[in-house]
Amino acid sequence: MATEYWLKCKVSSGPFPSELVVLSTSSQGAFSLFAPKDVVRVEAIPAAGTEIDGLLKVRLLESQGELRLVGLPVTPLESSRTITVQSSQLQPA
Amino acid sequence: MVLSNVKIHEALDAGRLVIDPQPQPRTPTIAAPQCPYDTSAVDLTLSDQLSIPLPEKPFVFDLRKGGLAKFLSENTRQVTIDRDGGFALKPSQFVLGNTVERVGLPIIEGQSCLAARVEGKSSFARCGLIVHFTAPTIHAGFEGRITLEMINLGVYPIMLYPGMRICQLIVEEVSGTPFHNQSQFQGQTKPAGTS
Repeated sequence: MATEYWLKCKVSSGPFPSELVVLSTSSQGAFSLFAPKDVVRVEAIPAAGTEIDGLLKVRLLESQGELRLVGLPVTPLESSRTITVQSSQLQPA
Repeated sequence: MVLSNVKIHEALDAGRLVIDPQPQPRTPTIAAPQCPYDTSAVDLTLSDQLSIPLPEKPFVFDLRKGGLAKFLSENTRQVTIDRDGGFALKPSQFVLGNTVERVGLPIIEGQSCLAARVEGKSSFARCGLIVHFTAPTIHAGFEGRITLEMINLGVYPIMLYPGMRICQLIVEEVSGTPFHNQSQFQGQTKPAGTS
């Protein structure tokens, strides 16, 4: 079933030029991670200290009603790599 | 060879690897998405016990004199981490902790056995937390909780809570059957390793 989707998120600049900070929310709570740029879609690289809307590439693993179990490309600081989100948080890749 | 999560499950089922309580769930589901098994490691959790060295006493560690375990035990303060309030590990502070889980790597005659390594989590590493240094090896034949030598190398305090996924266990095949060599820390239940 694994299929790629985009997860709505907030994006800010990361500690390295190759990384972005991604913030989003799952059923388990808010989470954040340092993502390589190639798994994040943003209109422009955010300036330091700013936060913009973006999308994070995820893999859909399971669906149940409006809940989606997705695998993140990087392990977040606050949770494991698999999380549940609402279907409305996802966009087809 | 490092075991994959599937091989870790097989080793648990066969009794070649013991982790008690066993980390759950084995695979992520919608009902339980927080899976402790990564592709080639399994997360272990922090117990509510910390052992904090007392700084008052002038002392020099001298391994030639022996009795190190006794000194460590007598010159540390035992702290139970508050479940809600947590414990703030200050910058440069060193504490001993241990895992909730008891890990067993039995040596069974005629069977290949396993050894393991405890490693930190990248999320904590980003904050400056080291959960072990120089002593990651868990030898074949070990049985007990894993002691974590934790230090905050960052510039901000790091909150520690019981049950948080603090480290990961990497499990490896051992070639050949080793002879037993009982470790000083065999069967340890306290962070300082003094049974």
